[in-house]
Amino acid sequence: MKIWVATVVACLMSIGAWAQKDPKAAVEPLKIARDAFYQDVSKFQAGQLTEEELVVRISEKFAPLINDRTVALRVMGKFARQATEAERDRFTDRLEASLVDAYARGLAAYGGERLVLSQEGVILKPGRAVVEARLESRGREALPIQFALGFEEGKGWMVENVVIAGINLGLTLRNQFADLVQSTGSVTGAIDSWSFEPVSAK
Amino acid sequence: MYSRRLEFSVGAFVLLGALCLAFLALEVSGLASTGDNGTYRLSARFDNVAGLTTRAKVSAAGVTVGRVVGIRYDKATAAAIIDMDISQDFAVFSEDTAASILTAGLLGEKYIGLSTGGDPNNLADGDMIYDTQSAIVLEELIGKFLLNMSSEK
Repeated sequence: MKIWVATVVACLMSIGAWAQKDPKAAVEPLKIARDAFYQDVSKFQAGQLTEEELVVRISEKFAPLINDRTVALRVMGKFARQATEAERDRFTDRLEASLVDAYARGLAAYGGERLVLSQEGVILKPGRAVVEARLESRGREALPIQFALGFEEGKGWMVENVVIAGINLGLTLRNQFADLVQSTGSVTGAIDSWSFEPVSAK
Repeated sequence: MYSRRLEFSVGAFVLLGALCLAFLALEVSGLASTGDNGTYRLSARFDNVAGLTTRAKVSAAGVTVGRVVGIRYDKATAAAIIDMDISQDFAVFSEDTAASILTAGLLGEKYIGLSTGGDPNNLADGDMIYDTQSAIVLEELIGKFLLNMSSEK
């Protein structure tokens, strides 16, 4: 019995280790979320979904794709080490809600853009990858997008950062958080006054 | 007697001037040391390093913490890899530290700015920084601006 359990565990571990190095596996969650989004938009355009239902569906599909804890620590930057565990937890929740809500509402105002993902990502080291993409819209230059992904045991590849047309979104949000700490005078104040408006592709 | 004192004063003044020039040259060229306790090596991956040179400053919060010691091209990822020697006095950068290529003033030299993140683990000798902000290329910016202007007409 013990041998069977050990064999199963070893198999699962080897699958995990393989997935961390597979450049195609890194693109897969992005493809799934994108295709699901296109399906929901088609239903919305056919009148099968209301705008609010579309926003909820997008939020549900995109939230598990984002490594909220890693992103929150990244955005808090040097203040994360000064903050208490409760403050880090509170900011993680607040950031996740603001990001997902802002992007879901932004995506709901979809204007026919196409997200073209590269066939495979670039594995920088086991458990860390970059996926190149571009957002194509009619009559405009394609917008290059780079997704930085990290591999989480039991969760798979998750988005940790996005670089849009050379602008590092994580770094921009980190500067925004640092400005809020300066203007409010404390990490708690910055968390309380945190809000996020997405960049429009239009 | 008077002549010897004058010659000595002139000589001392010239020597002082030479020392000042040497100090200035060391500071401007970036050959001056950044710390006394040795260095450790960090690398960073950038899509574009336009204008960055070896010996460029590496700073954090405006403090010089190291120097760029190498710039190479990574064929596998088609990106530039920057090697930096960071003073051991500043071995405090988290694993999610971000590196940006910045410009001193409007037309000044390019340097690397490090912004530490919130990860509890610190970067160690030989580690790589993946979270980067590449150099802004003026020609690309102008090109995009012109393209957007023409598409709006």
